[in-house]
Amino acid sequence: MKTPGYLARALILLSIEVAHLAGAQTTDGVLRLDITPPNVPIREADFTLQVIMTNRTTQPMTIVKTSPGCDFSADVRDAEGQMVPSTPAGAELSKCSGRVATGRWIRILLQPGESTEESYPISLYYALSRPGVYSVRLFRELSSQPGRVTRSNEVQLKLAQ
Amino acid sequence: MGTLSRGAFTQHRQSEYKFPRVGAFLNGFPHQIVLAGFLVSALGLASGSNRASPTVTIQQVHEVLQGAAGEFEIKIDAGVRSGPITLRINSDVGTGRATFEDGLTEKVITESGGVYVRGVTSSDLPGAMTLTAWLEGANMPAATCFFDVIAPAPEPRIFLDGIDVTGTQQSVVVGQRVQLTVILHPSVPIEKQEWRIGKKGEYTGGFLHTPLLGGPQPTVLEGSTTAFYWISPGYNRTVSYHLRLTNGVTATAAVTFDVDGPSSTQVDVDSERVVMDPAALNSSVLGMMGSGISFRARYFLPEGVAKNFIWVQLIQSDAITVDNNGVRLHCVPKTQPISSVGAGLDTTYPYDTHNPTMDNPRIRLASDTQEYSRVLHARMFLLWTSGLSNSIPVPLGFVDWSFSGEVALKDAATNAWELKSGYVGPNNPVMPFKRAPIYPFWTRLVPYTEILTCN
Repeated sequence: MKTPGYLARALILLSIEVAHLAGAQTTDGVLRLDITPPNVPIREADFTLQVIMTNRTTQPMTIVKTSPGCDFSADVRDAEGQMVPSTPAGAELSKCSGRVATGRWIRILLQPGESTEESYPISLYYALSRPGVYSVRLFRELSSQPGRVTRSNEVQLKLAQ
Repeated sequence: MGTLSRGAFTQHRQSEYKFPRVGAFLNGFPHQIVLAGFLVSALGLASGSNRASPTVTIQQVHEVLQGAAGEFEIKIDAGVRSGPITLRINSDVGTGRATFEDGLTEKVITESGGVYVRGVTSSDLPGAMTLTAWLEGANMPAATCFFDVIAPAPEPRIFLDGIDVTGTQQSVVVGQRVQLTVILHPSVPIEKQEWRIGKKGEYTGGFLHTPLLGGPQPTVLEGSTTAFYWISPGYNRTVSYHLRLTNGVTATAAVTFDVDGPSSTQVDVDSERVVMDPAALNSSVLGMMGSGISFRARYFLPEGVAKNFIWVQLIQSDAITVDNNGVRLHCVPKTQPISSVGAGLDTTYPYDTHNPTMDNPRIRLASDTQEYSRVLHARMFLLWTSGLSNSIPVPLGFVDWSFSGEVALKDAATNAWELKSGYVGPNNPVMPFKRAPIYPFWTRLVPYTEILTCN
């Protein structure tokens, strides 16, 4: 069976992205990312993860919210541990490094211990088309420390038929 | 109801079992009315006894009308054993109520004969009422007959969450799901059922919000059930149900709502001036000073109501012009699906859930390009949600605002640019916020990736 072209491209992009994440240093103690999975099987075709970002330092921290596809990277795996490819739309939506124009731009000053919420429409970026259990972890680069990323807890998503 | 009857059958050794009798005509009802009267009798209740127990049968002779008496025939084949038999009228579920002629629901008989049952309130569920016959000391009825109380004319009742709210005044909050149902007896010959809900624009059937598609949903106004959400506060709003039968008979029922929610909402808009971002060292950025344009909601909320505000921004157009060595390109951010003017939902739903929120659209300026300009028109919606389960956000109003900037390259070596013009602010500086219960509606997403569509 031939792999569709868009799927092959998505897998290549995903591999590059994961390689990028693997090369980045994780700094979980600075900005904490928490994802809370729903405790019931997901039935909606469009599903959004809620992310809570908490300043764990003793200093005020500025973060900027733009596009979730640019602000976060994700490691999404199926029940066999295989990486789930991006959707064609998701692959395009994650092309951010050469952005010329930005839209949404929200600058937030987080005091020590303070949190802010963000949405991550995971089904827009990843092909969670089959029912089953998926593990998800999010990563975000620290604007104050370029090249260093913080990672979220890993959650299990149960997709019902 | 059904379970009860089936259970009774299996626990008795039946000698007779007749299926429901069908086919009585009622005044004003041209169609057949199904009477759910059927008969059960039992033998040998005195288990272990060598004496034969009497056989009891109940047969409905005349239907039970609301406000009138129906007739049942009780036959007792006494056998060896004899004694009083107690008749009982029960209503396990539904609205149907009936009594014997003396107003009681229990009657003792000693011999065969007719009994009259008076309909008090009409049945909404078929076969939900029973007339049972009990031998002395038995823990199971010797016979059971299911029947209905038929209304001479339909009297619809409106139920909200299983409670009869017909003619009452209910208090809800905007965005709270309201599901109203009318249950009619299946024999009622319905031609049309219709709901009338306040004024158009005061309610919605739902609010869809996916990245690629969003907006209000239609309300189903025909049929026995409607579900909707009030989207603006108000008092004495009437929801009425209108029934029309095939014989031309009509009936109505109504319920009134007091709807609470945020009021006196305003949004203050503050905007910084357009600048080249001084924070950018190696690459220049056209944007706004500081936090850019900010939107702060002011409101009055009823006591005990949460401050759950939601911002949603729609890009109405976003035109970027690039002059590169004399070649002028007219570009828009690539949208999904493609829009010629770069319109759609800005980045994600919701845009933000904090108050105030802000925006600062930017352009990164490359030194191999001589001129850039950007003209962006956007509409920032303010919504509110109660946070109740089964509730949806409701719109409070919006701010139309614009950003424009035009820059020219001064020095490619240092990536120095000159700001030729710049404006940012609400389109109506005097009254930036338009209070209106209008939902954002989009069929495209403007994700603001690195891709521009140019021509």
